[in-house]
Amino acid sequence: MNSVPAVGTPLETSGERSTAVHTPLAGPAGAPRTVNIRGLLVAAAVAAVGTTLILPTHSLEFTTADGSIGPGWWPTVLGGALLVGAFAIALVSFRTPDEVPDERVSAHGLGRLGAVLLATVLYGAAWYYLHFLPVTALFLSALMFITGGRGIKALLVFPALTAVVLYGLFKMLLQVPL
Amino acid sequence: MNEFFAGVTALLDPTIGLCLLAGVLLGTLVGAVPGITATMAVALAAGFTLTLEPLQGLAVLLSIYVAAQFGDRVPAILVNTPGTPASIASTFDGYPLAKQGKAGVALTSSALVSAVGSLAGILILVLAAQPLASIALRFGPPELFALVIFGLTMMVGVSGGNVLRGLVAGAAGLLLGTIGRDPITGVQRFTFGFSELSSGVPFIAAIIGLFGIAELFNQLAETRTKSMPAPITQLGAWWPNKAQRRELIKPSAIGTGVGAVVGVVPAAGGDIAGVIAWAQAKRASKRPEKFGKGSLEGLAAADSASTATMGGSVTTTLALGVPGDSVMAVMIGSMIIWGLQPGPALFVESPDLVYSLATIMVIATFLALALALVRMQGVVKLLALPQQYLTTIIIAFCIVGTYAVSSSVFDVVLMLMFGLIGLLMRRFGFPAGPMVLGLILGPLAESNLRRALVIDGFGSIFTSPIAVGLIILSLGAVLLPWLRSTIASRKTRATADVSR
Repeated sequence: MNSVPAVGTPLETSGERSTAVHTPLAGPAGAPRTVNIRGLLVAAAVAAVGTTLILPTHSLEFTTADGSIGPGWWPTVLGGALLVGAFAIALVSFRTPDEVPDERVSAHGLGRLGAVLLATVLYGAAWYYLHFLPVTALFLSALMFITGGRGIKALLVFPALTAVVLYGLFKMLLQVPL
Repeated sequence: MNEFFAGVTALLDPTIGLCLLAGVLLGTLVGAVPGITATMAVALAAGFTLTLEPLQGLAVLLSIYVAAQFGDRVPAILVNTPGTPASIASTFDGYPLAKQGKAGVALTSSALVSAVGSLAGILILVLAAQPLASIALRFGPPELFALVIFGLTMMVGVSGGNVLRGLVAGAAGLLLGTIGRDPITGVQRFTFGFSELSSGVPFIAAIIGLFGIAELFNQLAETRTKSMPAPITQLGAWWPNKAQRRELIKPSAIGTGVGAVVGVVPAAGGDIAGVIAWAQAKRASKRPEKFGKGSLEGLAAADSASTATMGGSVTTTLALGVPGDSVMAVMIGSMIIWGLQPGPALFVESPDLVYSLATIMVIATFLALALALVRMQGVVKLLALPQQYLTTIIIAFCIVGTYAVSSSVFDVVLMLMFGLIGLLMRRFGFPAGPMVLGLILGPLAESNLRRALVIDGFGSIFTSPIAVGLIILSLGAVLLPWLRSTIASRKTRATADVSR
């Protein structure tokens, strides 16, 4: 295979993300291998999900009255597959370092995400009582502010216009009861 | 022939023309903006197209799919940043050409060869879909189960990510597919008293959450250290001269051939085809040394290959019911809601549909080509649009679009939950594609496996040559990447030992 040149800054690839190794695979010959804590945590989380999903299947039949396979069989098989997957991830974690995204999560970024989620919850609550147009314009304005938009155009004109477009598209054109 | 005319005349409704136009405009726009992929755009559009008639909705979704493959070349050539994964290989020669002052020629050549590739792919759809479906019609429960496993493992294997985590994501998706009514007995499973879950996890909420909102949450949470370079604004001459046009022919033929083959392989998309075709064209070129430094041949091979995959992807999706790529996974979700179950039976129930879809893709190709040839300066300005405007619009569309599907706040909450799950998956290396595929194909896999086991136990799977063949291919899909990386790392270690 011919070598291919590097791409500038791909924001997404078929593998969903670009990766970079952040811990050494292994030291020089004879040096102890680094245990990949991140990978072990991932394995524990997958195992927890698998176990949590297997538990409710006990209330479902494994075999039906006529002897055929019941509704509990397939979910149990899949829950078991998750546990096997968790074990395999844990095993791999002892041999190879984990892959981390190029871009790191920051405290500021998490705060921004939290603010967006909070604004969304408040928007949902306000939409229940008030008309779609003003509530949506206010919500969009809040989103613009959180993501760094400043000035009349960003905080007033754009949210108002977008709210009107959304209303026109969904309520007037597609007849969605907003 | 009657089916062909029925398929084409079904599109004479003027609203379908409007849907096509809207889809092409939207597709070109999302393709041109790095960070918004065709999959994300189709997932978002699925939210509001479900209120339309199936053909109108399919016109919007398919034309977004086609046009995004034209729009994404613009940032690849002008900014060295692929607009969608399908244009990764376009950057190899597109950006060097732009830096040499040949951006206009590169953009025009790219649009022309992309159209050629797209039309060749559509020809594959018209010629191969029906015969492939006829073969698949003979599939019984063991073969259908094996086919789902094949589709899932191919998506995991070709994605280039962590195979193990891809398999775990696929299993989790299959588990999500068990929520709701059991496909054989009708017993409710894992609904936790929510009536909204009785017919399964709402596809659109899950798809928008995993593909749309998760990407935005990720962008919000992380601090970008890399900034996009300023776009090249001097486009130069825009129409390739005679010698340049002649230069495009051979690599376009190679690219189209590679794309047509790769497109039919389930889950393999334009990104893979583009890179393979680029390498093959380099091997076949008289001037391979120019590849990667601004070769029109390299650009032509990559771009014709990635668009040629589209017809093959639609063929696999319609004939086998297994998505040809991640956009098709989203489209399957929409089609099921419209009552169109992709798979061989579709050709018995709606034989004209394949011609309708092929015609939609042909018209979308010509519209996208026309747009690509006239709007270059405008798109350059678009690349300078501040990110917060896009983020805000997309969040609003995710919320209102999800709500619009069944006027349900429950769906919106579910979509946000899937967004957070998708964010965690992204951060910890789990691809979202296999999970969505598992969710969509889970009931099909379960019902066919259980039927096969009732008929003849596990023997029914292992005595069917087709099922065995598909399972062997599935094993190959997950084991080959692992084997390749193991051999590569051993070689690297051996080289390091020798040099020490």
